[in-house]
Amino acid sequence: MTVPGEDTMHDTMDAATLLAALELDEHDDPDALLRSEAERCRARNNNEEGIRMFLVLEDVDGGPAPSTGPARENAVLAGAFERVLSALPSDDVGPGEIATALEVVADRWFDVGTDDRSDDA
Amino acid sequence: MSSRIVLPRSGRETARRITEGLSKGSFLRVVNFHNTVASGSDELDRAFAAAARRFASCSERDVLSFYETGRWPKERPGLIPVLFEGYRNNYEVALPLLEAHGFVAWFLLPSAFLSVPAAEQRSFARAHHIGLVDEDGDRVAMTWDEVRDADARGHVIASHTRHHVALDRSTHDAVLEDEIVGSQREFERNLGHRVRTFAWLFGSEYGTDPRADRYVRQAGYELLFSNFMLQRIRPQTHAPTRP
Repeated sequence: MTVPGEDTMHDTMDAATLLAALELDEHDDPDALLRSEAERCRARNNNEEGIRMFLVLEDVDGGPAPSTGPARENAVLAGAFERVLSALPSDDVGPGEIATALEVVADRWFDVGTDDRSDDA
Repeated sequence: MSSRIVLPRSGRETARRITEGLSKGSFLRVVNFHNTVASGSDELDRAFAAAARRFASCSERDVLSFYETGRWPKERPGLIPVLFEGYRNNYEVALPLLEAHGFVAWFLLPSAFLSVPAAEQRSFARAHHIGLVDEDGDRVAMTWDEVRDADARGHVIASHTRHHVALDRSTHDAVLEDEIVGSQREFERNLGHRVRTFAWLFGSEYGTDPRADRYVRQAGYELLFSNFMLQRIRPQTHAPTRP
């Protein structure tokens, strides 16, 4: 599958750095792992299980979209989305593939860019 | 379910926009819930406790402020727990746990479901893509009193159409108007104010159908909650919403 936005990822983080950031660099076949994760996410029962997701912000009237968070972590999430999408077996990029890729990213890397504040919880 | 989404643009363009939004930090985290049964309350409690150590609550006002200022106003990233369909078990099980851990719940409610007599709710649910679980008792939906109570406690009440329908470009105008504007009227009548957020079954975006977009604006919604996006719609009228 052609990776949408591939240039964006390469502008911000090379593939090896991304794999290390995603802790996938120790795996023999990261794409197979991601396909397996995609199957697992698709099989979940969303009627009884909380499903993590990212929602992108957009001002439909053309105003600027807000932004926040550490740039490197944002690049990791964007790269993860592209990487998962490219690992899926379909030749098409449709709503189902996009939803699955986002669900995999959210399921594995939801906490990227956050700190556990156990002491003040 | 996701393959039934109607996108306003190609999949590749949608994916490109998502990549761009993630890379700029222009996103929020959500956790989508449907049924939250009592037998799962311990697990929910642990999950919410863990989430509270990393994330901050996120109200509609926080989202709109984020759009206005361009900056997230809290130290921790925001997290939106979404409770779909208005299940009684959302109010009785999930809501107290979310409150205990400091989160604002977002209830996405098919407004007509809330007015269905208890004895007819299961058949209504089966006819309108509302998933059921094995539970005792007839009543599976929240009551309007419960919706008003959640509203008064500071949680987000949002429209998920009237009858839990998906956006379809072949839908007649009158049906679109009823599901979008009619739902808003139903909330206004029962809450005493308009709601700000709207979502389709299967999560279509603003921009998919100009007729639907027109009704969304007419109804005064300010946020459209879709599968991949939380879109800001700037109000063109100034009808009263919750202060």
